[in-house]
Amino acid sequence: MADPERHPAWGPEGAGGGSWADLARLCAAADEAFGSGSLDEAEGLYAVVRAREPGHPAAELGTAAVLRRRAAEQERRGRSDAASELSAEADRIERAAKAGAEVRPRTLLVRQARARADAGDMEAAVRLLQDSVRAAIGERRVSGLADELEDAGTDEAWRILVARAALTAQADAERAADLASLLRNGPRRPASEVDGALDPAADIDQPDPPAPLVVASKPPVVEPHGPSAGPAEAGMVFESHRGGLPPMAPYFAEVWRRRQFLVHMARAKLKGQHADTLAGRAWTLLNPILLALTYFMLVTVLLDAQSTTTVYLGTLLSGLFAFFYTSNAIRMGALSVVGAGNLVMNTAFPRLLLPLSACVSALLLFLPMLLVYAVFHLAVGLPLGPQLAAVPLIIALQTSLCAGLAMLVAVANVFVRDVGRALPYALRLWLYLSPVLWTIDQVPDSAARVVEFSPLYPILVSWHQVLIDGEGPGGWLLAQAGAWGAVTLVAGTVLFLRKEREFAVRI
Amino acid sequence: MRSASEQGARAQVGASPTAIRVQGLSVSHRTVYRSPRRAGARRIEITRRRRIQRVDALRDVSLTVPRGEVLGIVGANGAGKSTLLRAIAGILPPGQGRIEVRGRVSTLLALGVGFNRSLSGRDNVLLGGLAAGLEPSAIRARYDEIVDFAELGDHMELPMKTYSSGMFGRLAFSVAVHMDPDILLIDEALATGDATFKAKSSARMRELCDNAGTILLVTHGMSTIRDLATSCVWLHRGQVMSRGDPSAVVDDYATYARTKKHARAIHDDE
Repeated sequence: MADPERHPAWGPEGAGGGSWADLARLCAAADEAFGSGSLDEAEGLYAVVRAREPGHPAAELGTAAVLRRRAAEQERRGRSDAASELSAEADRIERAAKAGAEVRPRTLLVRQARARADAGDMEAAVRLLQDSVRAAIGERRVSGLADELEDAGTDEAWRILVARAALTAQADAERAADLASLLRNGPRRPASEVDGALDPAADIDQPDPPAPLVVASKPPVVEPHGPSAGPAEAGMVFESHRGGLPPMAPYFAEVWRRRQFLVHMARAKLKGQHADTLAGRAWTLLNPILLALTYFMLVTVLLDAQSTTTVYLGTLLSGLFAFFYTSNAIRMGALSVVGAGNLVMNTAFPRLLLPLSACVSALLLFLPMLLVYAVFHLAVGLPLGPQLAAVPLIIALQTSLCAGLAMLVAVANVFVRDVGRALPYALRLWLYLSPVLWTIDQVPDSAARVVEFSPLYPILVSWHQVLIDGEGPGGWLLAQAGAWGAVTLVAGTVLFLRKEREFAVRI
Repeated sequence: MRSASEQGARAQVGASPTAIRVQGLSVSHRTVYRSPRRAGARRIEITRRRRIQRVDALRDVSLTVPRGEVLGIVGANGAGKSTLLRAIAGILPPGQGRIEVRGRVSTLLALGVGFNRSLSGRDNVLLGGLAAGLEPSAIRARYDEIVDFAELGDHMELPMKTYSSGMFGRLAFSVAVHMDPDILLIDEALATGDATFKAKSSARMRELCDNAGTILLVTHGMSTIRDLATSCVWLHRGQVMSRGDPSAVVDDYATYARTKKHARAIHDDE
């Protein structure tokens, strides 16, 4: 079976040397340009055809048409001598083209094609055959052409050339039936049987738009991806998008492989933020401390709160820091994709790394806050005990929530930029609706239902229980936190992966 | 640089002869814009109609790139060259058609991708390398080579904000060409800098073309194509017009460009 990539009849798809210009396509493009008024473009394209094949009728006539159009323009501008010069040139070209066409009868074309094929110049042979087919169709002498083609040869290679020429001339065919007859009466076997070379599914009676000279549309054997292909041989296939998710295992394998990129991006982002300041990296600690103090002053001074006890300060600090973790993750997540235009447009990597990196940045901001809180906790004498072993668990649950929310917000912001704008307000409102500035007992029952529904509610209450009350976190609360985390993570991942492919065109 | 034994091993690991196969690829995108205000409208228009225009960046493109080939891609601006590279890299999804890629793809489509200007040159080498898909150990192994090539010396510790554009370009280019790709996609002449650096960059590109597995090179420099490419493709308005021997294809494109320019010069004298 002829290997489509090596068989010379298929052109330089992988065959080095020789070159091929799709003259039909060039003429079509030139006609298109002419139609839309780009005369110089049309002239340029026709010129390429004429350089490759002097006397090509379509190109010659096309050039003449361009010149006539220019002549009309010059006439409009009142330059009649320029106009008549152009018209004369157009006439000359048209005359030569018609004369040329007369000198090249069908039989001569077929003989020339055979000679070129024997000499090994398959491209020229196909072109000549295409011209002969067109000529025959124009003259309605298709069966005569079929006879001449048989006379010229009956070998396999010749038949393939003929079939190919016929197929690619489909665009010119006024009547597909003529072509079908050519193929039935010419080569002994119908097109569909020519091995491996033609698309068995092509319906000859329905000409396609100018087909490119690639036909092997039997799906190529895709070598297995994965370990058997060797580490350097990752085979990837991109096909048109029909909704749905990319293959998950390779995707997450690649995410894992690029984990260092994720971490370094997260660190670089934070490093870059404080580059100009005097305090530099101390700001990662100063920020939360100053914010906490501000809120403390707000609550005590303005609200004349019940007790400005250290317990209350501890509640405030731990609640605010925990809240900031999530709100930072969301805030940075929203910008993670839309702000990475350069990366998204110019490198290929699993885009999920972007919101995950935002989440890691938020975590890196959270850890120093935890440290500051720990110092405070010890200094003030808040309870220590085995319940503190639950802290890593709470952090893990909160992290899954943050990651999920970061992904959701990242995707949403790409499609609806208003999300990013509205976010500061939404986050502020969420803070007020969370048990940070107040505790649950201060809230009337009707409102309690509402605030309990927040995804951060179980997390914040768990923090409070473990750090301030000195008790182990309630199992029910942890289950709720776990559920929220899992749901947002899955929803975020699925939504992100489905929409990921559109990012490059939306940013 | 890969050692000879590594190259031999690679050739043996069932490497298929085809590195890239593109079949019937079409990519189009839609731009949304607001209809322009009608001239002389008396009332203030609160919303203007959104119009959607569809742009066909690539139309039914098919090609096959065997392993080891340096394929030049030429064409006028807007012909779809960058779109083709990005589709092959997996950055843009195909609207129709199918792309098969065998091997790891490295893209050199823009300078300084992944860089953070607030950070030092040293940090950015790491970031740029990671963005390109290298392991940190591999980046550290190449670090000295990258710095030498960029000729920046002590500036490496300073934030890249302080670099001149030439320095930025040199470091970014140096990072980009020291990756070790199976398949390399290069868009446009990325070499900047003075004459000495340009010469070094060309030599380095030439080395890449000799050593790297497969290269797709988009450029406007016809002499680059003639020197480096083993095969060439001419794209015009998203379609392949000509392909094969680089000189012939470049001639076709040159004929087109020359005629077009000549025609415009003569006739476009408004």
